[in-house]
Amino acid sequence: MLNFNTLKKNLITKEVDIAPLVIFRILFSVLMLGSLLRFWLNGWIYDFYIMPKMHFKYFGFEWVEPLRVSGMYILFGVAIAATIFMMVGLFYRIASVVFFLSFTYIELIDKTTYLNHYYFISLMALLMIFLPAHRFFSFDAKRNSNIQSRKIQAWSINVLKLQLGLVYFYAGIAKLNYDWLVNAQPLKMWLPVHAAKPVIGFLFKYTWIAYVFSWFGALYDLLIPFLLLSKKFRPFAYAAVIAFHALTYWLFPIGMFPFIMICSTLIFFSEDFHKKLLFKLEQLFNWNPQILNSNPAIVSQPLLSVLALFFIFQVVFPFRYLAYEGPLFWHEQGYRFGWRVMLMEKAGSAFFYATDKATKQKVEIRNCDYLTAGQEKMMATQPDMIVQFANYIAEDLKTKGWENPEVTSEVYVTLNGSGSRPFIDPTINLAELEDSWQEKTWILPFK
Amino acid sequence: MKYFLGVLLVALSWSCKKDEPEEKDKTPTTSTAINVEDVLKNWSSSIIIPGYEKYNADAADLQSAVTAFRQNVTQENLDVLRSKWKAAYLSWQSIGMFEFGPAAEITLRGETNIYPTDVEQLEKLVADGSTNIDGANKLDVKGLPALDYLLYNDSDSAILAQFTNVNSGSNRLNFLIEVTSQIAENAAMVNTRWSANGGNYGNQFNSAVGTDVGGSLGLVINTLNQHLERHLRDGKLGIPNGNRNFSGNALPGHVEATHKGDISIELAEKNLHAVESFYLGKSVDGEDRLGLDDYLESIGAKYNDGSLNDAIKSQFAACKEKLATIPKPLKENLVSNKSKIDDAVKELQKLIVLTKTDIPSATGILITYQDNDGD
Repeated sequence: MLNFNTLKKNLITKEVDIAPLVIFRILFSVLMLGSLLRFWLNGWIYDFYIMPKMHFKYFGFEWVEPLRVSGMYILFGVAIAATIFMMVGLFYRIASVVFFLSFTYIELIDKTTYLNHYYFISLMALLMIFLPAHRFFSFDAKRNSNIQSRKIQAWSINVLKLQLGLVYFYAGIAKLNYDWLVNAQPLKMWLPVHAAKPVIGFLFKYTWIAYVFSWFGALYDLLIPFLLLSKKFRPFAYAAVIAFHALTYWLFPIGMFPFIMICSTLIFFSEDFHKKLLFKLEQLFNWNPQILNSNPAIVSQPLLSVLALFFIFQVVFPFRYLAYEGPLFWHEQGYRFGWRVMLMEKAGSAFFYATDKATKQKVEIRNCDYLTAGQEKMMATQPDMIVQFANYIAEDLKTKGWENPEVTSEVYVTLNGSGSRPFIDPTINLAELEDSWQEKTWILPFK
Repeated sequence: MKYFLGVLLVALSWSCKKDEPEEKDKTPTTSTAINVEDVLKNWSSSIIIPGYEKYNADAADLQSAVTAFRQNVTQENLDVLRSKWKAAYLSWQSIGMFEFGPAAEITLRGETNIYPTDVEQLEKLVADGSTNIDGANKLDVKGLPALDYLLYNDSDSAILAQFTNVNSGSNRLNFLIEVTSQIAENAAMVNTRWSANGGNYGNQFNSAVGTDVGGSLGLVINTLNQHLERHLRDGKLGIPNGNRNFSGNALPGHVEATHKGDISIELAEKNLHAVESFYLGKSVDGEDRLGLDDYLESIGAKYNDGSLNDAIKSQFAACKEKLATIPKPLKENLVSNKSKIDDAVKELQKLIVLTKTDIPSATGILITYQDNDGD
């Protein structure tokens, strides 16, 4: 019979070497530093947070505003500095709090830029705040012998494994849908475009390869956490991790995500692996302090409870879409924050019309007067953004002297190559609506 | 241990490599897959470059006609000048939508075809004897629409009188020359930049085969979509039809070539035909070569139960049909035949839905440079 106390001991309180956590701290910080610098150098701070006139706010976070021009750059600078402090383990707690807050604040400004891996980073950053990742091979440990420790409790590493495993597993569950498995969509559309690519490109024109990729992708996501946990399968599993993510990087514009996963999954490797790696780093940086103390950061009951809630939330939240009728990919109510990555090919065109109720004057709106090309593209397929945009148009027209503008739309969307079809009830006055979690009955059925 | 680090490093460095150099491999890897590069090559060599050459030649002719007109302000020379202006305006319709690369660098469309012309500002410049038409606030006193005004704002005799007026005639002639020279210079500049013995942008265009934002396919599709939406649907029909102004009233002064008055539909038809030919990859001599149609077929792009290409082709046909039913001249039928204009606008909008929604979706081109994990 499973002994709860033994299980608890093994997973939570058992003392283990700190090396995996230290390596993770360094890799995570370096990747975040790289991500932020890349973002900055691509000019995206301007493109996404300064140039747009309006921002698509998240429900409940309408108060999050972009800072003024220099403020945005300062905010990114703060986040960048925080990654460096985390990396070297100087003022680690403060740095990790600052990183979590600054990064999450940036992401909350506009849902146009929503990516699953940004959400993942925010979650990871939140966890990092509570982990004793700075107790070894860090400036904090050097300055303060009280916190030094070669040992930590197993929970500190297991929460990271759990978080990663959860991401993969849920990404796998999300792939268990008819279009993905039976129609091999959207890969059937995405792959042929790459038929002119070198070496294996010629394969992409075949339909069966889309099926292979779809099924392999689903199995990969569902199984990889377990394979990585198993000592026997780990080498094979990690080779699969590299192959899978390298392939997606090669084919799709998914930014830093592949590297983040390739590096993060190293946490599943053995203590010995990390010890050797850390030893190399110690030699490289002439790190050889006398470890006087062993302070393994004993987990408190409140922290355990908070962590439990943190994970329960993540287990439940992706399923909120069940509360809505109709196909999720079409209406996208409850789509975000569910690890639905590269699951569908969706594109749309949205035309908006404003009518002054008093004078019956009707005018077509030029989307580009309000939105950037990227915002227009994202808005055209996502009902919550369509409402937000219509509200914004109405507010803008009010400032131009319209008394009670009515905003209607004509939106066409194609989903997984279905061909474009009407998406939003063209008679509904979107200006009267507000984005909420209520069922959006004015989304036309997918047929 | 070392082995794993090695694997990690190799994987990372391999993934970091950009794939452009490898894609230069020109041998087609499959028999049926159509290389984007071949489509791009056909576009540049059969349509874009010959189009610019034609427009450039017509613009040069226009300039010669202006020179002749200045020397002899006669009815005969005015007639020649007007016919050259019309020829240039028509050939402009075949290339005006290619606002990327060299054309985008000098904002060719803004320099050449902003209408309606700001008549008041133009007359003030002429009265002041100024020929300074540079800068963003002068875009609506120059280009082909400014010539439309200068050559057609009154009866023939009155126009000739404007140019021979003792006080302002020479100012007006100088202004005419400056406007025309700029049209011709811009045409020559873009033409040279594309040609193999000039800037050879054509080569750069052909080799940008990626589907990312820097890729030519994406550039072309995004640019054409903007053109269809803002310049063809709105500029040539929707705006004169009152769709974009708060009163909703027709704006006859906003039709293309409003002073000439009777060629607006012809210009629109020429432009729509050019966009269609480009889509089909039809060369300027009318030969059907590789185009977006072939590419969409080769990647198996679907629309409902049929092929996307078929849907787009029949939508082009619908647009042409509705455009042809609008009685000419457009400016005199804005009110009396509004429903026919509305119909044409609607069909164009359906075409835009296909080109803006279904084509990017099928081809995987990116509209903006931005990470995307598919939602």
